[in-house]
Amino acid sequence: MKGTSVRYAPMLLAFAVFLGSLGYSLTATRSGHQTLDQISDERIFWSAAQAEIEYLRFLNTLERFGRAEPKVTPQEVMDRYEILWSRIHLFQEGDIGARLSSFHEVAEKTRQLNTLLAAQEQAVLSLRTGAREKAAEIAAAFLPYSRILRQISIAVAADEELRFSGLRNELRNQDWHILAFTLGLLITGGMLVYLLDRERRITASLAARNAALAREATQSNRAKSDFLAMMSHELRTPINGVLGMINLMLGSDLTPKQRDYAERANRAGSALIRIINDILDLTQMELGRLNLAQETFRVRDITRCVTDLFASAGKEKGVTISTALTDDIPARIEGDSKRVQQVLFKLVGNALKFTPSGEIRIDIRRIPCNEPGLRLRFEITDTGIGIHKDTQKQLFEGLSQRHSTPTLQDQGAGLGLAISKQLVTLMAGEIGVVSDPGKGSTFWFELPFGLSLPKTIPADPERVPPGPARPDSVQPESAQPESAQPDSTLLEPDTHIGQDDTPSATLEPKAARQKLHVLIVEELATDREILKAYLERSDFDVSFADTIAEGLATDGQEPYDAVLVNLPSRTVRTLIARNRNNPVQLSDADVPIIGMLDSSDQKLLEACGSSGLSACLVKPLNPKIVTRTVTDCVTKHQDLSRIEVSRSLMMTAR
Amino acid sequence: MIKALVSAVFLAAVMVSQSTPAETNTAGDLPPPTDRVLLEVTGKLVQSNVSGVDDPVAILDRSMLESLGMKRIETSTDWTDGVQSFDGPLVRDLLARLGASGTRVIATAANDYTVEIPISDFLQYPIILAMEMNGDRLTLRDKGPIWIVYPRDEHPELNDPLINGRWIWQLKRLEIR
Repeated sequence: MKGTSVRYAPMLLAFAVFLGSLGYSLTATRSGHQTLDQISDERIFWSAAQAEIEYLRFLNTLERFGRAEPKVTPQEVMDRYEILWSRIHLFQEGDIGARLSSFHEVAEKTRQLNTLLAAQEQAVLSLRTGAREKAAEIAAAFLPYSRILRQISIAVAADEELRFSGLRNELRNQDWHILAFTLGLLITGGMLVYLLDRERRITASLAARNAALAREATQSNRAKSDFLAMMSHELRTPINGVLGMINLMLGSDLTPKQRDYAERANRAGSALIRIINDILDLTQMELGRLNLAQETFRVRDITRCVTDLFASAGKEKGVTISTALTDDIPARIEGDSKRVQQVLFKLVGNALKFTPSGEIRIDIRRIPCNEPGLRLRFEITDTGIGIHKDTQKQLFEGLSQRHSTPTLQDQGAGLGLAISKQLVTLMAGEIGVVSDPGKGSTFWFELPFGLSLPKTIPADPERVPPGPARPDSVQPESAQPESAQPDSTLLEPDTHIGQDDTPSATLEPKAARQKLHVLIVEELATDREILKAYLERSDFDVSFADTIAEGLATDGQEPYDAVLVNLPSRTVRTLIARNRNNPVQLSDADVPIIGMLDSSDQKLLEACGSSGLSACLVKPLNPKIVTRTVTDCVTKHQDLSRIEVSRSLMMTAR
Repeated sequence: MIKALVSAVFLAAVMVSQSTPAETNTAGDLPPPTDRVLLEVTGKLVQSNVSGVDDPVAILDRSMLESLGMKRIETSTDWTDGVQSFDGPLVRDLLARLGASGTRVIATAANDYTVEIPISDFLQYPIILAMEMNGDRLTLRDKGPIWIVYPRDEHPELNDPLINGRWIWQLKRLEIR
């Protein structure tokens, strides 16, 4: 504040001086005008001179009358006398009289003249033609007053000289004042212009600095998100190894105690990878790298997926999970089903976590909306512990807004709610919670969906031939009744690991005819071991190679039935960059190739989808899904007897 | 330019409207004065009552001036104290009576002081040839017998050194140009 007043002080000073100069200049100009008026009103000297002239004219006329000039009549003498008197009157009346009254000498002399005129009036007015002596007498009476009139003229002239010289000096001084203050005006005006311009420049530079700071802040926030994304990604590889190994261990002969330890380790590892996945999701969203899909799906498929997944956990705790959809919801709608499912999963998972007993209800109903399409409201109501009002506000805060106050998240709620909030916002929806501590909570979200047009609804999704012919119809696996099995990564694949000890048993019939031979192209020894174990348990033959070309080039061997190739993000990005506009082609060999990604990044998935791969798996791998995918791909390949880019088979993580 | 044209047209209109009754009253020609001549008018005028000269000259006595119709102006002046009451004919009535045409008047006083007055002054303002002040006839001694008086108090814009110079007293001659 003090700095500001110091900064504005010169400007205020300049402004004050400017106003002062302006005011003084105006005053000086006005007083100059008044002086001029005084000068122009001055006619005193003229009056004095006129009086003297008329006096002389009168005397002249009188003298000519005395010499008996025939033209000079008594009337003329009288007229001259009258005129003279009118002149002397002026010294006593009006403006001139007022002015002369201050001349003490002049007033006195005027009185003497008046006395003279009055004294001679009778004589002048009674003048008759030829009265020469009388005229001489009058002239003699008037003659001595010549000096008095002269003195009046001189006194008036001297006074006017004095006054004019004073006025001249005054005017000259005023000129200087006006000049000085005009200069003052110019200088202060210039200063004001300069100061205002400087002010403008300071403001502009401050604005620029603010913008730079804001940019920096954004960049540093981005850098944080980038770092988190990278870190989570880096963490996933070793954790995948750990989980894989534990999974192998669980498949082996263990004492009950050992099995208990391994299962605990598995659960802890699963929790860890869930957290890492959450962080990854959140950072991706904060970085704006998340794209939404637009696909036709059934709401009931999504709810079934979620309830199926939590059914056993709920049963263990004694919590029933039920779903209710209103009738006005169309069978098929358009939107990003995976994202909706993810939000629903997070919210139900969260509800289950904080509900020791009772029920969890999923209510879905259509709500009116102005936009085309429809709007659905999802409500997940539990009978859990509820949430205190103060905590409610912070529930949905993301990474960038979180502060250190202890919240539910710190008690194990994870980043699920923040992710849900981000996802719902991304889908142009709303999310919120209503809670009564001790009685339970209702988490709700509302989302807009597109109405599925009739022609895009396949009568039976299974009949639709997969492949490039329908590139846009990415039919989620979950939409097919037989594969209502939850999507691997989306629905926390790790939750299955402990439960599916003998995953391959049910898949046997298809591949039982002969042992399938799978080539694994994988650099990481741990992952090789895991894959080998998974596949051998399901009775596959397994070979290893460092590259696809190397593996396929081996002569004299039985041709492989399928290739599982590790595709680190790095490699895929390089491939995308190299084949900017063309699909990435890993091999032209006549064998189904299944990619294994270490990231569920949308771009990478898209690239793999168009690369000629038969399917894509995202690590961490689930033994059941690995074996099933390989089996499916081989079957499909044999059926079609040529490589199909089958996006419907893709086990896309997202 | 336009102002000059307007004033010329106005002058002509005034001349017609004012001169018509005056001419009928006096059977057209200006009679010779019967008393002492107070004012002599020369220059561009139609009515003349002096014979034997080339240029038209009108000479007027008190009764001829009074017959133009007396108007009163109450005003302060530079040469008197307080407000005075002046009576006399309007200058424009005199000009109309004489069939005067022109743009300015050269006024001459008894002491041969002269001043030029634009005729537009007389058309624009009711300026009189004052012959009485406060009911008394003006004599030479008190700036008579004729004093051109402007209605200065009624029209403040007339209180100006230039206009004040046109208040000629002891007026004896007007020359219309």
